[in-house]
Amino acid sequence: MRDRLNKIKTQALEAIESSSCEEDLEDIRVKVLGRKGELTMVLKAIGGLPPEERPEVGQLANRLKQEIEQSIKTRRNALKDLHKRPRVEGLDLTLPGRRRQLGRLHPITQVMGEICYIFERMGFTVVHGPEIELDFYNFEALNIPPDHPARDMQDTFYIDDKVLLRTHTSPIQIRAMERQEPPLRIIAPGKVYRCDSDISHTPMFHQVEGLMVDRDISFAGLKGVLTSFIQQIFDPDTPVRFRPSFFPFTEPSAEVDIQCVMCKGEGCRVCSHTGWLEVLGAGMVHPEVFRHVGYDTEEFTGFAFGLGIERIAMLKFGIDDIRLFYDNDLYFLQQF
Amino acid sequence: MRILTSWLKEFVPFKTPVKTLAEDLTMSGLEVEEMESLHKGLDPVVIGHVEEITPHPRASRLKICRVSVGEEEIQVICGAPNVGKGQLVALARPGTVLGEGKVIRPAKIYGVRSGGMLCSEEELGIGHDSKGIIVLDPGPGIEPGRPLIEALGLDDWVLDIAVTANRPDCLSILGVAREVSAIYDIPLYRGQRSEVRDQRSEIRGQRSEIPISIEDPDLCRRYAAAVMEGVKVGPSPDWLVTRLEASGIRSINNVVDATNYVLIEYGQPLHAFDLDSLIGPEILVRTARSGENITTLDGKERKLRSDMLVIADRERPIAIAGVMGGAETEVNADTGRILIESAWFAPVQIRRTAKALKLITEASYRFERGVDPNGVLGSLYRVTELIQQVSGGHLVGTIEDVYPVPYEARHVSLRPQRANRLLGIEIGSGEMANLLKRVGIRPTHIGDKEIKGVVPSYRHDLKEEVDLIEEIARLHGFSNIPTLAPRARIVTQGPDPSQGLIHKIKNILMAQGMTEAISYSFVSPRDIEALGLGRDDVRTRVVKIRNPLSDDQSVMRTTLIPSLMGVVARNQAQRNLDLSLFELGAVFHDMGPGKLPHEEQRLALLCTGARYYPESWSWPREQLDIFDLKGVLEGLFLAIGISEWKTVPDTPDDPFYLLGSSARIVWKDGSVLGTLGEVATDVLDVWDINGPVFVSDLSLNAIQEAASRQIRFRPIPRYPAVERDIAIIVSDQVSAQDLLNFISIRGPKILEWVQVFDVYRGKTIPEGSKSIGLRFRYRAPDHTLSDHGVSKIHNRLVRSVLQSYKAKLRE
Repeated sequence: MRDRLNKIKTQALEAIESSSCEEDLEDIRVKVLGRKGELTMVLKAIGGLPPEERPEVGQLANRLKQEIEQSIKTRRNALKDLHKRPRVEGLDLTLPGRRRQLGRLHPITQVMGEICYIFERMGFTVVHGPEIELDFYNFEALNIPPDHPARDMQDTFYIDDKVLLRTHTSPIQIRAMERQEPPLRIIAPGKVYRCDSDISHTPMFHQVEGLMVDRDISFAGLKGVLTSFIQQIFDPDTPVRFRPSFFPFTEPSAEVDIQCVMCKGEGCRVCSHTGWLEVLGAGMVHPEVFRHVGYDTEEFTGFAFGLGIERIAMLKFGIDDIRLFYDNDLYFLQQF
Repeated sequence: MRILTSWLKEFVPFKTPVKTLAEDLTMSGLEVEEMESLHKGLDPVVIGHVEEITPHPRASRLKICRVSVGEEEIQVICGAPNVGKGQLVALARPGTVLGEGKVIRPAKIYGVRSGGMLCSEEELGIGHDSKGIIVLDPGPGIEPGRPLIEALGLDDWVLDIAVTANRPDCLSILGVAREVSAIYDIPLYRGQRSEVRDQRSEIRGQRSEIPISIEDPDLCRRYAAAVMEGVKVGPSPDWLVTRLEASGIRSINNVVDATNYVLIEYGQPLHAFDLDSLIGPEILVRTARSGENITTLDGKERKLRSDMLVIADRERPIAIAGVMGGAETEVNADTGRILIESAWFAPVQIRRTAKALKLITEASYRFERGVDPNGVLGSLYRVTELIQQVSGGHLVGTIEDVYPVPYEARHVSLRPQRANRLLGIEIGSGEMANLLKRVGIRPTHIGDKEIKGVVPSYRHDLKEEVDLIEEIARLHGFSNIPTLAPRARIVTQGPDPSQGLIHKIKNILMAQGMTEAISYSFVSPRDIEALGLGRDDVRTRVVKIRNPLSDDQSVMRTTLIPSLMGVVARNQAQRNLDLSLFELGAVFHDMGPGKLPHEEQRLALLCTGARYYPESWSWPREQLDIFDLKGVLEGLFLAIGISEWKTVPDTPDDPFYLLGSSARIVWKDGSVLGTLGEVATDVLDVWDINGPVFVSDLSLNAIQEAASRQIRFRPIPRYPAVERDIAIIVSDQVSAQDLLNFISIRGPKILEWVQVFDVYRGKTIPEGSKSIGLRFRYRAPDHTLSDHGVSKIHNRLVRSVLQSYKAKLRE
């Protein structure tokens, strides 16, 4: 009996050691420990042995059973690891990956898109206009007659006496109203030009113009739309204030300030220690503008607004020199 | 406009702290851009109490003072003869900035610490006593530790106010005082000199006998003059200098300073002539005669045009009206008799003259915006008073006032309901009338339906109903107007069709690793010339800017190529060598004078540098070539639905491409979408760029025409495909595009596609030929193809290719 056990042991352990897969192991287990397995048979036969031999053989057989079970388990784990053996030895996963250069949209495009998207959700439609404009659209129709001091508000690049580079996106308002009767809700992004160049001015920059005309459009509505816009483009809790100002084509006119994003209203260099930053110009469309496009000033009212995209982008990203936008240095462009 | 608060207080008794005042002004339309204390550096100066004095051990003239500043005691070394125990003194603590920028710091004087300095009036710049330190009399508020300036009530501020173009009335102390009065609903001081009125009645009497005439009352509505004798020209008293300097005006002499003082105070520009240098003497307000010149006060000789208004004596111009006086009649040290002018000139007239002469002065700035026609005399009266006070002299005779067409008060009306509707508020007509009264409008009728009133002569901006609504809005307070979502009809108009396409194009290019650049629309004329375009090329028709900032930005770009060249040059200078860029923007072509130029959106792409970047340990270091760029284009066209386009070699109109390395991109209808190619070396040299650089220039319009918005679903293939490869040797003259087109047209229905998988020239290939490897994929939609069946069809196709192109199979 003991020899038989020894034989079972030698054969089983050898087979386990040389097995190469899970299935082999299972076969061995069935062959040795299964219902009709070699060792199972031995255990069953113990009852037929003389009583004095039973304890010793029983002990041996049970120990062998445990030994084989353990051995199968160990081998099974070993086989698992075998499948995961590295294809390459000494792989250094800390090496950088093969990153492809990402393309980027210019930060102005990104911010402009964001601004337009906010207004489009409020039912505004994007329209465009020419960058080289007639004096009429850029000034006269906007209630800025020739020889008016308000022309000093914008340093104009002229092509000739009648043709100029638009100084704001406001002429698009006029062109839109000429084309279409109220109701009107447009947003007009684009390049504008002024002869000015320093750390906070570039001769070309971008604006977005907005216009909403219908019956019963009020200053309260202007405040509603622009407050919502500001809280979407900046922080939902951004404090906003509207203060009186002057634009020839709106009345009442307002400048819209947000609490300084740098100092949270404490006063710093960026906000000239006022705690506020000007981000928007707005107002109720001046009746004179409606007269120029033939709208009934009694029936219709409206509001218009304009904002500089660079300014918003500078505040959002913390850019301190506007000229960087037009240097197009990849080191700059790749940051956004 | 720089407004000194102490000066303002002489006109209106406001009690608000200056910070609140600044905020309230800003919120009612006078934006205070900056506030500056007149005693900026003196914040750390506090009142001290001298507790004890001991002699300095090493310097007999110095004393060691123990000074209490409330809770703290500070040891200070002092050399003043008048310092004594128990005195209340002015202690400048570290950080104080004295005149001429001297900063107080803790120091050791002959080995003894001194934590500050006891100061005299002069040292602090608040008085002239320099004999000894300030010793204060005890009194209410004079407590140790308290800031000196505050305790003495000396705090004075300059408010720098951005006055908008519609409010010239606020270009004076009086004007701002009126605003303060309106904001706080407190009256201006009356009885003093705050109310500028015509003082005609008070000053009637004998005439000064200097004839004054106005040639054209449209250009000069009113001209008043006063004559003074016995004037002693000399330096101005300090208070006058201080106030002028705080207002940003340099002191010249007491007479000129007095006129400037009244200018700041009342907003009326004044001018004093040296009467004895006037010929006649007489005053004629007229336009300049052709050929006339004048040397102005700034010493410059100026040519006058016949549309410029001048003040002349009997023979010559003596001042450019409303802009600047002449040097020959300037008040000088010997002047004893003066003539002072106070007038109202037409704004447009003054503006044109100032612009033409590029001479913007305090006077022209106000005249072109409009001064108060009814303030002319009051200001003149005020200045004679002031001159009498600071330089002696007295008025001779009466003030002469030529006023051919007197000002007529303007009447305006307002419908309260309209105001409420436009603003989105609900206030009654009584309250509205009160708000209007506060800004000086005198109501003539107050009803529920209408309020009528008379506008004060200094408010040129109040012309119609909406102007009054604005006054109501700002005095009611913008912050008291509710913030509401507007009620309006839905607008059904769709966006500009290019909108969506542009968005898509930019995103697809970005997805292919291209970075967007935005360049100035203006370039240098040399940039356009550098492209070597033909004389008739539309891109040579540049739009020139009449007043460019520099020659480098003096013409509008006619193509995007120079813009991208500039971007590459700047990046290469920064060692950014691997560039994949695009720009989408307008170009402009001149259409003749007075006409709007032709404006067109174009899209330009550019690649240069490495094919794979950023540089990595495992990328192959390969330079990209034209096919990298063409691949981007193909990807773009695929994504926006442009099919059936071809590359047509050569771009005869675009000499900026390298010969034989460029092509036109032509759509199926023959329209040219654009070009692509390698930039010629001589062009690169102009920008100092290292090549090779590949660019593509496309018309957005043409792309938009060719792009299809329709996407048609094709079923997913159910049966396997069979592929066949061949290599053929053909003449160099045969283009890949021809071969592929031929195969596509001749190929059987089951040919899914054909591709070039290899191009080879070399030893085993005869000269003038090339080997092209072609891969064919066959697939039937409804069954599995048999190998035999495919071979038959394929071989037939290959034979026809070989025949048609005189090609040989490469073994």
